[in-house]
Amino acid sequence: MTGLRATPFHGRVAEANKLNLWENWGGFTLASGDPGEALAARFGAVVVDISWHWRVSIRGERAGEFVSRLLTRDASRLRPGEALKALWLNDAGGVRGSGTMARMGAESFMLVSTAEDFGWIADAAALYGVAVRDVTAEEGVLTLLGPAAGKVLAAAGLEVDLGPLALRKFFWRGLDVMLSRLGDGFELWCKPDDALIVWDRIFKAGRGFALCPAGQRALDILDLENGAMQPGRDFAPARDGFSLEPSPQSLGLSGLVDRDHIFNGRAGTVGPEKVLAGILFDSETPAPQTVLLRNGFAVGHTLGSLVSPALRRAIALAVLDADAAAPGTALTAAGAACRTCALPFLPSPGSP
Amino acid sequence: MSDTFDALVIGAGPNGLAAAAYLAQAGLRVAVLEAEAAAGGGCANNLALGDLAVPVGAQTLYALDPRVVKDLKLVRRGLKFAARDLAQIGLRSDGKPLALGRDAYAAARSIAPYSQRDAERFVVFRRELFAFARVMRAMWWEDGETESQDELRRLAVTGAAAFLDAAFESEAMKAIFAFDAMAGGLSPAAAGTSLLFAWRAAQEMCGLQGAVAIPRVGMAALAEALSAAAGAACVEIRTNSPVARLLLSGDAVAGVALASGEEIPARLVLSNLSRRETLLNLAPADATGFATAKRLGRAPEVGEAKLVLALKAVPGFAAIQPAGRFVIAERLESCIGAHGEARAGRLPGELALEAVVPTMFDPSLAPPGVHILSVLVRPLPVSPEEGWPRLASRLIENVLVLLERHAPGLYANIVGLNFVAPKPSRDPFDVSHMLAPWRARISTPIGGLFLCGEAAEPVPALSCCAARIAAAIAVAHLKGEVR
Repeated sequence: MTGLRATPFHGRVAEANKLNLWENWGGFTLASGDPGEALAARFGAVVVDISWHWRVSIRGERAGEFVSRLLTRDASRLRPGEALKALWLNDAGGVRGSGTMARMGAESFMLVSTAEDFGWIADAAALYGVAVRDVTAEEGVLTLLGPAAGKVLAAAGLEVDLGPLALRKFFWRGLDVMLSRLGDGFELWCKPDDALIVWDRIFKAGRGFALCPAGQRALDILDLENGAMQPGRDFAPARDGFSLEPSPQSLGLSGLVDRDHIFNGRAGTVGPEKVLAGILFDSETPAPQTVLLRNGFAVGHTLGSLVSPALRRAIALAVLDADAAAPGTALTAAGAACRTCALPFLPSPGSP
Repeated sequence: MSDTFDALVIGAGPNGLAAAAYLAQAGLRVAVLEAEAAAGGGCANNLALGDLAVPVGAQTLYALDPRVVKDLKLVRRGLKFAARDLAQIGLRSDGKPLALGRDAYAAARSIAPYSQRDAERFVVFRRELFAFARVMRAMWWEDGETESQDELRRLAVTGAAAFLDAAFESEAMKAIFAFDAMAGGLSPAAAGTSLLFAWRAAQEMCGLQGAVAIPRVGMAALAEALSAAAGAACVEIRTNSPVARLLLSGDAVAGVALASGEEIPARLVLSNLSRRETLLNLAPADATGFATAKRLGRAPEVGEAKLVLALKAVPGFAAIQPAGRFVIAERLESCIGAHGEARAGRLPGELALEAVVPTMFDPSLAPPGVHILSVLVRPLPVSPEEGWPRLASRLIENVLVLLERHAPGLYANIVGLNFVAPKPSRDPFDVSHMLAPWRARISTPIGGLFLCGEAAEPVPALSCCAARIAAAIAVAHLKGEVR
């Protein structure tokens, strides 16, 4: 038993975590925070420590071939500094994970996900003679979210003319850092030893923009409002090499599958399609992983569910039969009235 | 590159030849690619035995698919039988031999000295086993479902040892089935191994259920009859053509590349090799699927070896009537222990043997006065710690001592000897294999690539049933039908 690890920002996060509420994900302890922080991200800017996100570096002569086979979209076509979102499937087509693959160099990639799956990637990489290394503990990562996030970074002296799903390395007043836009906002990557300096510089620059620290709950709320699904939180990924469930189509994730691309588990990506939709509840009682009924008949089920402070009601992601996915369809979940709505619930706080 | 083929078959063993013949009969242009200089695989006389040559593979036929015999007109093409129904003879050190022949009442008389109760039980045991086995043919002979689901579920969790314990009380009756209970390298204690008896009983040779036969002119006669059938269907058999790798286009097969560098395109490839050899050695590492590649990386732990002897005189036990195959196993329980030792990579202290003397039935197999004694030995480690060449000498010594005990004077009569070690290329076998649908055993993650050999049979044995069904599945695949 190794216990929970602290992220490189832990010293500052502990000071900032006024409620002293903690969560643990991926073996790290992280601040839980207050749901109201999600509102702050919609008006100003917030900083969230996401160093716990699982990251694996993939290097080798055949790394391109490997990532191409691994993911449901062809990551080998990326140019250095670009990234894409994709799934990885087991042999039968069950979703083992979902994440972002970034190309760092000609023979070097980095996979980022909220759910760890090192054994699978390492076994598969061995077939190609490609070296994979879990680098989660070797970096500190902060995400800046909100309309003012770009301004905060500019004030801190970082150039932010970065497109979505792109990343770039900087030498930032004596520190080696990397800036990326893989999620809703910006991510700033640094060495663990530089973490506290980076935190302080960002907050110094953010003083004029009401920058505040936020916890994991705020990040989850923003994610859900944005319609983003995370393995482990919203669905249980396949933890076996041959299980058929959950298939990408049963999760409504076919948009992340390139059917012309050849990848592991491709044969399993046919079948009845479900639609990923949002569910708006009339109440403030979330209903995660609950069957959705229309006129007494099951038409799907919810995934993750939370109370959205911006919408002042409970919301949920759900996978639905296509005919029940039209926005406005009246449904019930465990007796509570709700209706279908299109995703995202709200525009991403980072979008202009 | 003037030739184009619709389908290629890797390996000209009996299964490969049968599959090729079926594919050609369906109107495809087919080539069989054989690494060796002659077709026949395990049935060809490739193992030197003094001045003689004997087959490397099976020593008896007990599972040859009657539909293949009929469809490919094998009897007309020279497959005749020297012995149609070998009795199962248990050689005992604690009493007279136990002879279980077709005549259940004669068998009961032979059991009676060991246990009167077992003698009475045996008649019912065989009748019930045969009845269940006939129902199972829907699943083991064709691509169908069995009607006897309750009994199947019960046997699928019953080990051979528990099954025999429930049926018989004497050690002799349990031990006589010990050899068959270790087919495929399983332990008689493993759950579901009782199905091995049902599978054997479901087979039919020469129209007799559960019979064991020996072809006239040896096993090579089967290979020759199948070669003739393939030839008559215009199959091209290319010998000395080892396949180096499969050619893929996307996630479907596109042909094969030979070791010589020649590339032969084809939309269908049927492999007579094991799943491990086909997917790990011939296909690119990734096309197999990450989890499948990991699973296939594990070699089988327990297998069987073959020992062949040329003798100046017929061994003493050959005089037992009715004529049959001889099983030497003292106790079923010790076979379970032996299986554990073999799994640990050691030579087991006790072994189970099946011996046949084919020259008893067909003297033309050897020059006058010479007899062939062919012995299968189970359970043995596939990859022993000390390596097979070293272990083989100890094993042969042990087996000869065991044989000498039951046939005094045998040692002095040996004029030739050869040995075939367990094959590490075989697929690990487990009971779930017997219950899987044919399609799961035959198809691979690569489109258009199918297995047609022993690896696709419910139990590894010379049957050609997989070849027949694989050909049907492959033809349906080519026509774009979903099966």
